[in-house]
Parts: sequence; structure tokens; C-alpha cells
Amino acid sequence: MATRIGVDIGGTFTDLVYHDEATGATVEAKVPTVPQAPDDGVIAAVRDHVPRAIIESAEFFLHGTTVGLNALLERRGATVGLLTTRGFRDVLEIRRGDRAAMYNLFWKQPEPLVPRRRRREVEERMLFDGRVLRPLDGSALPEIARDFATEGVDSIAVCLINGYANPAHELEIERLLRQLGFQGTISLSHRISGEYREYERTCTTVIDAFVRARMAYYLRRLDERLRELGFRGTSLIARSGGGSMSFAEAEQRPFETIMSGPVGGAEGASELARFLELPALITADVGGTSFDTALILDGQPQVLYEGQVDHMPVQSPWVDVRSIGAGGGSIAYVDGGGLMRVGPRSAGAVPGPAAYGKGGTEPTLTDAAAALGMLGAGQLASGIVLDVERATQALQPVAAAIGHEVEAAAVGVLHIATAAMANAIREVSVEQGLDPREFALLPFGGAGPMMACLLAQELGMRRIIVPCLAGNFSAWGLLGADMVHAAARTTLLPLSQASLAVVERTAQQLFENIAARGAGAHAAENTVRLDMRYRGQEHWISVPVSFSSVSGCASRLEDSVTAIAAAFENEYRRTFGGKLDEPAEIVAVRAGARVRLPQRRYRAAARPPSARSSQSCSAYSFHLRRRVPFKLIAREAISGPLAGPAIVTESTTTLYLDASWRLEPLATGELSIQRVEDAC
Amino acid sequence: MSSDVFTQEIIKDALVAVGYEMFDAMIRTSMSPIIYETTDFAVGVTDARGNLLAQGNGVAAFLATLDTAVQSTLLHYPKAGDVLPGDVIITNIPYEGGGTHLSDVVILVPVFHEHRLIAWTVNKAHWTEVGGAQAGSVSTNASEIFQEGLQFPFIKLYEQGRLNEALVAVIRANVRLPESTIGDMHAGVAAARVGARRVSELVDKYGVDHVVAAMDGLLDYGERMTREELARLPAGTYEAQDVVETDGVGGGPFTIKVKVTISAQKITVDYTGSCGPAKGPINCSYTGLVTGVRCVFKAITNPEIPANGGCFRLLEIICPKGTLISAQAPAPVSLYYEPLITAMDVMWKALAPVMPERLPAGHQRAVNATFVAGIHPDTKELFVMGEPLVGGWGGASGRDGDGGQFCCANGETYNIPTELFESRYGLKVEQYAFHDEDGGAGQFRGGKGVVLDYRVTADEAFVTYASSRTQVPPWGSHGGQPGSLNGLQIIRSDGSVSHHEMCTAVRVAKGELIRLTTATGGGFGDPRQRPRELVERDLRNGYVTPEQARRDYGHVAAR
Repeated sequence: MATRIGVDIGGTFTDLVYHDEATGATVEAKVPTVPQAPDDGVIAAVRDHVPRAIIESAEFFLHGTTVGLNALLERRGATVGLLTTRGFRDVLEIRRGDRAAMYNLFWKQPEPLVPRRRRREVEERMLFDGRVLRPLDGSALPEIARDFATEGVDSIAVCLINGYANPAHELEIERLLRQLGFQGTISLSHRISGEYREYERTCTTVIDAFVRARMAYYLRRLDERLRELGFRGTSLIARSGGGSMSFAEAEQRPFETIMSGPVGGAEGASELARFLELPALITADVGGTSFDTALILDGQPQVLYEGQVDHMPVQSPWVDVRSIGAGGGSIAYVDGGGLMRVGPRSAGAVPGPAAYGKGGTEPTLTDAAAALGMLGAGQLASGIVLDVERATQALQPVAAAIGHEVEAAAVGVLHIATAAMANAIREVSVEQGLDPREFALLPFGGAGPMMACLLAQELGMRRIIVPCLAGNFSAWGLLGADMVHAAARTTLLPLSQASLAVVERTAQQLFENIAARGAGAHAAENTVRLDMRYRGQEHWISVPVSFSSVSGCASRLEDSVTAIAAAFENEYRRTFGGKLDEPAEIVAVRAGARVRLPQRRYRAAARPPSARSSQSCSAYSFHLRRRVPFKLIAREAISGPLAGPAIVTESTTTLYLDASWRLEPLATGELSIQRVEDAC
Repeated sequence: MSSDVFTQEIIKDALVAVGYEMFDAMIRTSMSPIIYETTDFAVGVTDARGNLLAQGNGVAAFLATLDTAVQSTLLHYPKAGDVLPGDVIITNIPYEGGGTHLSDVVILVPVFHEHRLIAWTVNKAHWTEVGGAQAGSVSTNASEIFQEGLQFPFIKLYEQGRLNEALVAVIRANVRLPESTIGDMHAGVAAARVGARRVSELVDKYGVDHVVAAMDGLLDYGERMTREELARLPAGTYEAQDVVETDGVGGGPFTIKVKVTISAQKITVDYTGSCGPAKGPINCSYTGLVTGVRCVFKAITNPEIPANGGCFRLLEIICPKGTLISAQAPAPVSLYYEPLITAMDVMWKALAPVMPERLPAGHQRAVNATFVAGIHPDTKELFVMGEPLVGGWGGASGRDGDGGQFCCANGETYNIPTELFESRYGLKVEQYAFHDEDGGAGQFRGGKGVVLDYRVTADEAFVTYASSRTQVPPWGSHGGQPGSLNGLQIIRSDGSVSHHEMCTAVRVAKGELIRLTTATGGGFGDPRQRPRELVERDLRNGYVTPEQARRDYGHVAAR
């Protein structure tokens, strides 16, 4: 156990959770996100909600942020110059030639991060197997460096064709640029990604160059301010591919944090799945602006090896979380064809739903729920008091437009949002050939527990687990994010005995690279995966292989060719439902190293047991299709089984337990919910 | 049915989701790269009469292929009881509903609720091989459909759940890669059945009457959404014409003419006056034409909402039988997509002058498909490289055209990365970059075409190529200049150069260069109106040469 503080910045709220080693207590808070200065929000949350003694004794600060992502989305980053092989400077602009909106003849390709005049070519050429076809001629570099200086370039990305297979020319260019006096940051493609596909690697390298300075500034400043508050421990930031990395490493590899937003939730869900021994879990993270869902199988989130931001690919591991623009703040409206729609436009933190009374007038999902009584009548997070009257007023115009009463319109809003979220869940599960009905649902985020019964009903799911700290679960998940490092290299090989020696050597080099990043490789658990496919295919699937570990470094490949072939075939069959007769080949070697953080378990702060209240309120039951009295109860007051209809409140979220559902608190604090006909 | 408007929204989304699910099922069960890599297929759901409810596409060029296949199926099986639960229909006839070329095969599964036909789930996919004169069943020199492969004339692949073994045996005996082809067939059936199951689940959940009512409502909704946009379009009659330059066997040029009439009630697109059939395989079926017209119709009404049959109620298409774009048997149709794109392009060209905020100037207008085969110098194995090529899109009101993008008939189409390409084929890529040929000047520039150089590293290689826009450049709009041309050059060791528009299996020796060039898009607006600072920025970016800046934009360099 070690005292730690987690802060997760979301689109609407910044969530904080800290865990006190001395008492075992965990405390949570939610504050509005400060979009213009996110570190202000973080510092305010820590200063106002974490006692000085805890800050001083904390061993880890774990952070989830969208700073890098926003820099990219808002195009606020470095002035980047790109150096590439003669004949290929337009790769960044041509992309892969695909048009995202097939029927829109007026569609516009995204503006490249580096304009053509700052994309310059050098004479050199590597072949795919690392042989030098043409040696580097650096004679043009002085002129290029001068032009870059005139253009105000403060960050240079270097991505040469086949540079991943032999980095000599990229390294030499770095040396020459430094010799010429360039003082800005230099991003070399082979350090960013060891994988082939020049557009994807160039794009990732350019993104790195674009966000690096900004990210470094943010992380240093945040770390300094935390230290001013008395923090003396290690600062970690969530990785897009799961786990966390130190601030120092993130300064060097900022692109690995770009999509870390939803990672905390997936980490927490994985930990809980392992703890409760749930083989298959689907998360439903409903925040203010978005709905995120992920699949947790055997205690692990699904990891992809390439992601996308704003139509730009990023070649790095990526927890497979699907997002749609549907959350508590999503706005309901009637479209030109007369159908009612919900989202993706959101009222956000400001002005927020009408029911928050902060000036919002458009009807949101939260307003519909408030009007139906689903949120009880009390306090919400951040001291917000629900104004049901305002919610009802906001719904009026929409109801009128479709010729219904407000109540019916509100029911419709909930149905539509539920169906949209359920479709996203089907997508993550069915795409993997899995049936969501076999899964347990894990709702969290401010509005997750409110939607849980509706979603489970819609999908035919029988079991729901509401975690502790459900409203701040992403921040809680962050607290358990082990330090993780990854590296990969494209290595095209037939699957043969001779190739395995190459795989072994490549894996060792990758682990050496990871160690050179200053990662604590000594204590790491190392894993190796092979990307494999049938010959003739383009896409691949990733298969784990066994390595024996000697003094922390993976050193010997244990599996035989036959075993690897069988593992590949099994995985292929699982994913695509069949096998091919072509021989298998290896595309890339992936090394992963995980340094475990000390274990921690949730234990709620001791509170005086509140009197078993017999309060109730009137709310709409979707099961009974009418308003009925709902029991109203605080979560900490639950001591035994409870049958719906009931509304369970806690400080950062509200659980809507419909009739026909029954909850039971687990000894470890989670609420286990089952359909009544199943529970009997 | 008090919750109509909500149920309808939910069923609408659910049907769109069924499309995605069938799309995934197709990818997961397919055994051939053209399906799971190139996504050259479409899946969808129609109502009992063949009105399109939802469709999932890999490429745009399949937009009219599913619903019209159902409509033609119903003509072949007109009576109640002709189609029964458990039946699966198969067709690839180009000249009837659903038809494009023989490689694209349609599988149809009827969905019943207690013996009442309520819907169809359909997919159309490019099979690896359907027999015929050339491996892969596509050529640039066929003169009859019979050289292009097997035809499946709306026959039952399954009868009440029983596989038609005789048909499967015939397919097996007539194709070069029977395992792959039969695999494609089963993938199509599996995907359609996944869709059928999900539609049945919707019926179980909401009741058959609600679902059927929601289907009707969905079509009406599509019509309303489209009508609303239609009212914003300028009423009037607009005409244009253009050509496909050659048919691969010496014929051409082939003119396609259109007259588009817009009123608040409908859009009529009339291709009367277009030329007759070609001898070579550049004939396009009527279904292909409908697809092309629908794509443009969708672009000018509401490109972002999912397409359904209701959207197209306001569209009338007229074309006499037996033209280049309403081919009749036994016209060869392998390269149907070039005239299809041309038919799209003339409609687009007719309307661009009055819809500057919806339509840019003309683009490269060709798939630019290139195939190179040879023996790999390292592995000594046969390689066959095939890929489409990106080109320039036209300038538009308020912005320059996109450079280096696939044409309007593609969609989720991706180029082959050089780093992957060289690891696989006996060719080396020497450049893949924008060229600086003349053309496309305008107040808003046309996007740049590309030049792609393949150096042959195999002992010898054979190149097959088919394109259009090889003699007549993409059109400019509102005073913008026309773009440049597509074409293939072979640069020989002795320095001689040959030019090609369509060719089959031309030999290229080791060390020689295959150079593909694609068109720069047309410009929009008078180039002299382009602000000086933008011309200077183009000069710095190398999008125009100093010569072009002076000649086309009247730019005088500062001293």
C-alpha cells in the first residue's frame, strides 16, 4: 500500500480521488474542468480537497489529461519542419487517399500539420530490409536549416522511407542538425515507432514533434506546482495503451498519452474484473459529453496497436474504447424530418443542463431524467441542486414539436439515448464475435449508474456491477495504473525455426531500448507478442508468446514454431471465425514491460450510519411504464438486499434502480444488481 | 402507438446498426483480401418490396445495387409462395437490378415473420474469381460478356434451407480458385443471415406491425429530409456532356450527355442522347448508372444522413435502353466503373455552376487501376500488384481542391504504403509526389495530381492499366482553368518513352520505369482574382511554378 492521489480531467468535470495509506480510506471530489488552464483545475482540486499531510506523504500522483489531445485538436503546437527521403515529401498530405465522407463531394481532407514548404527532402534511401541503397548526402542540410530558421521552426521531425529498418541516416541527420546549431526538439521516426507504413509513422512523428514542447511545459509546470503544495513522490501520467508512465518519459514520448482520457476507467474495470473474477465485463462510462464503452476480457482491456485522432493515425498502443457523443449534457432536438434526436451537441460544463440552473435552456439527457424523477430531488456533484421545474420548461418546446406531453418526450429522450449507447456496446462486443448478453455491465461516470438498468434491459444483460466511487471511477482506476512501457519493430519473416532466432534478438533489442528510456526494467514483468498474418494478407492479429525471463530481461523464446502457429490459428479463428490454408508469417515483434504499483483496495471512509430512511419520491418506471413511488436511499445506508424501484444517491452519482431489478451490496463495497426473475 | 416518433428513431438507428453488423460479419467470415482488406462490398436491408432501409458500404459505387437487386428478384419470383423461408437467391446479371460486372455477386436472404415476407437482407461483394478468359475475371479487351465469367441469373442458392449442390459444383468446376470463390459465397450468405436474425429480433422486441410501420416511416422520413434540402436547390434545367476517351479495343471517344431538371418536387436526370454501346468492356449497366446518379443526388441533398429508399423517391432517372450507360446483353462490362464515374461527373458538371457551395470543379475522374505482375527477384515467386491511384480534386468556392485523393466512386479505399509495397513486389517506388504540370489554375486552385514511379527490379514485369480523362482534362468551374490528364508512361532503358491510356500485359524489362501520372483537378473562379499573398504562398509551397504564377495568375515577382 502506498498513499496516492489521482486526478482525471474530463470534458465537463475534473475528478479527484485519493487513497490514504494510514487509514485505508479513499476520498473523492469533482470540480468543474478549466478548459483554458487545465492545471489550474488540477491544482485547485488537490489544494481544496486533499489534506496537506496526505499530499506530503503521497508516494504517487497519477494523472489523466487531454492536454496533448487538445493541443492537437485545436492546432496549438510547435512550428514543425519535416525532413524526408527524396520523392516522398507529399506523403503527409496525400495520407492514404481515403475519403472519410464517401457521399460528400464537398468533403475536405484535413490540413496537414506541416505545410509543404516546411516538408523538405534529403538524398538517401534505405531498403525495406535495412540495406543502404543510397548513402545519405547531407549537403543540403545547411540551406534547409537556414530556411527552417526563417520559417520559425522550433521542432524538427525526421521520417525517412524504411528508416525503421535501419536508423543510421535518421541518426546522422540529427547529428548534423545539432552541428548546424539547431536547438529545438528533434523527433526521429525510428524512436517513435519501429513499424512500417510511412504515412502512419510520419504522422505519428509529426504529432510527437507538434505536441512535445507544449506537453513538456504543462507537465513540468504541474509537477512544480504539486511540489509547491508539498508533494514529494513520483508523478505518473496515463498511457493511451493502458498503464502509466513517468512525467519525464512522457516529455520524451508525448504521443503515447494522446488518447489516455478513457484509460483510467478501463484500468479500474480490469482491476475489478480480476478481483471479482468476472471473465467478461462491458464498461459504460457516461460523462457530461460522451459515452465510452470498452470490453474487458479475462481482466484485460482490449488493446489496438494503432489509433486515430482527428483523422490522423497514431502508431502506438491504444486501449480499445469506443466513444459516441451521448452524455448527461447531450441536447435533445427535433430534426428537419420530424424525428427526435439526442446529441452529439452537449451543454457541457457551461451552461450545463437546464436543471443545473446555471443558465442552460436547451433540454439535455439530464433534464429528461430530472423531469422523470430519476435523479431524486437532491444534491448532485459539485454542490449542484437540481431544478426540476427548469428541466421541465426546457423540454416543453421539444415536446410541443412532436405533439407529446413533456413526460412522454422525456421518456423518449431516455429511450433514444439508451438505444444509441446500446448500439455502441453491440459494436465493441459483436465485432469481436461476442454476445453482450453473456457479459456483466459496469456503469460509472456521473451519469452511468442512472443509465445502467435501461442499458442492461435494452441489451438483454442480466447482471450489473456498480463499482465503489462510481462517479469518479476513472480517477480511481488511475490510482491502480501500473507503469507500462512498450516498443515494437516491423520484422517481416516467414514463421520458421530460423526466424525465431531473429525474433529473439529483436525482442532483446526492444527491451534494451525500453531500459534506455530510464524505465525501471529491473522490476518489470516482460511480455512479448508477435503480430502475425497469413501470407498475402495486409492486416494482422497479435499473438502472445512465452519468453523466459533472466534477471528481469526477457531472454529466451520458449515457444516452438508449432506452438506459435497453433496460437495464431486459434486467435484467427476466434476473431474471424475460420482459418486459411496459406502459411503464416510474422509482421512485427512487440515488447511490453510492466512495473506493478503496490496493490491497493478500496475501503470507504468510516461514516456514522445514517438512520435507515423511509423517504420516497415519485419517478417514472421504464419497466412498468408509469410513475410509481421509488425508495430514496443514500448508498452508505444500504446494508442488505434492496429491490427496485429505488433511487440510490451518493456524492458524485445517482443510481436508478428500476422495478424488476434487485441489488445486493458485496462485502467489498460494490453493488451487484440482477434482474428479479433471475435473482429468484 | 404513442411512442411512434421515438420508436422510429430507435428502429432507424437499429437498422443502420444492422448494416454495420453485417459489414463486420462479412469481413470476419471472408477468406479473400478484396473483401477484408479493400472492402469492395456493400451490405444492406430493404423492406419486403425492395425499398432500401439501410446500407453499409466499403465503396460508394454500390449505392443502387442492393435495393434494385431485390426489385428484380421480385420480378423473377412474382407470386406468393415463390420465395419461402430458408431460400437464398444469387445473381450477378449486369443487365438487371443489382448488376455491375460479373465479379460483383449479390446474395439475397428474405426475412419472414410467420410466413409473411417483411424484409430482405442483401450483400454484394467482389468475388476473387468468377471464371472467364482472364484470371480475376476483369480485362481491358473482352468483347462479349461470355469472356468475363459465369452468370448467376437470379437462381436459388438455397431452397428452404437446402444448399443447391449442383450449382456449387458448377461454380467449383468453372473458376480458377474454387476454395476462395466458394468461401466468398459462404461469407455472403453468413453476413446476410446475421442481418436477417437481427431484423427478426427487432420484430420480437417491438412487434411486427410496429417494425413494418417504422420501416415505412423511415422511408417517409428520408423523403422529408430530402425534400427539405430540395427546396433549397435552384430550380431549372441544366445540361452537360463529356467523353470516355477509349474502350481498350480501339473505339472512342464515347459521349455521355445529361439534362438535369430541378423543381421543388423532384430532380429529373435524363441521359437521352448519350452514345451507343462500346465494343470493349467499358459498358455500364443501368444499375451502375442509377448508383452514379444517386451518389451525386445524395451529395447535393444530404450526404451525411444514412441513405434510404425514401431519399430517392424524389429522383427520376431517364435513359433509353442500349446506350453506353444502359448496357444490354451481351455487352462486356468489366470496366463499367469508368463510364459510371463519367455519368456522375456530367451530372456534377451540369449542376456545379449553380451549386458552388455544394459542388467543386471537376476531379481526376478515374479509378486509375494499375496491375503489375512478375517474378519476385528475391523469392522467385509470382507477384501480382493491383491498386487504384489518387489524383487531384477540383477547386471550390472558398477553398482549394484536395491533392492526391481517390476518385468519387471509391470511399474506404487506401493506397499501398511504399514500405509495404517494396517488401512484397519486385518493384521499387522512386517517387510518390505531387507533380507540377500545368492546369487547375483558379481563384481557388485545383488539387494536385500525383506522379508515381515504379522501377522494375524483377527480370521483367507486365503492366495492365485502364483509365479515362486521358485526353480531355477535368473541367474548371466559374472561370477556373481545366486540370491536367491521367496517363501511363513506360520509360525504356534506351530512353524511349511510350504513352498508354488502356493496355493489357505490356512487358517492361528490369531497370525500366513505369510512370503513372494522375490529373490535377479543375480550378474554381478566375485565377486573376486569386489574392497575391495566396499565389506567393503557393510559390513558397511549390504548388505553382514561377512560370505558372506569371502566366496563369499574372504574378509579377517583387524586386
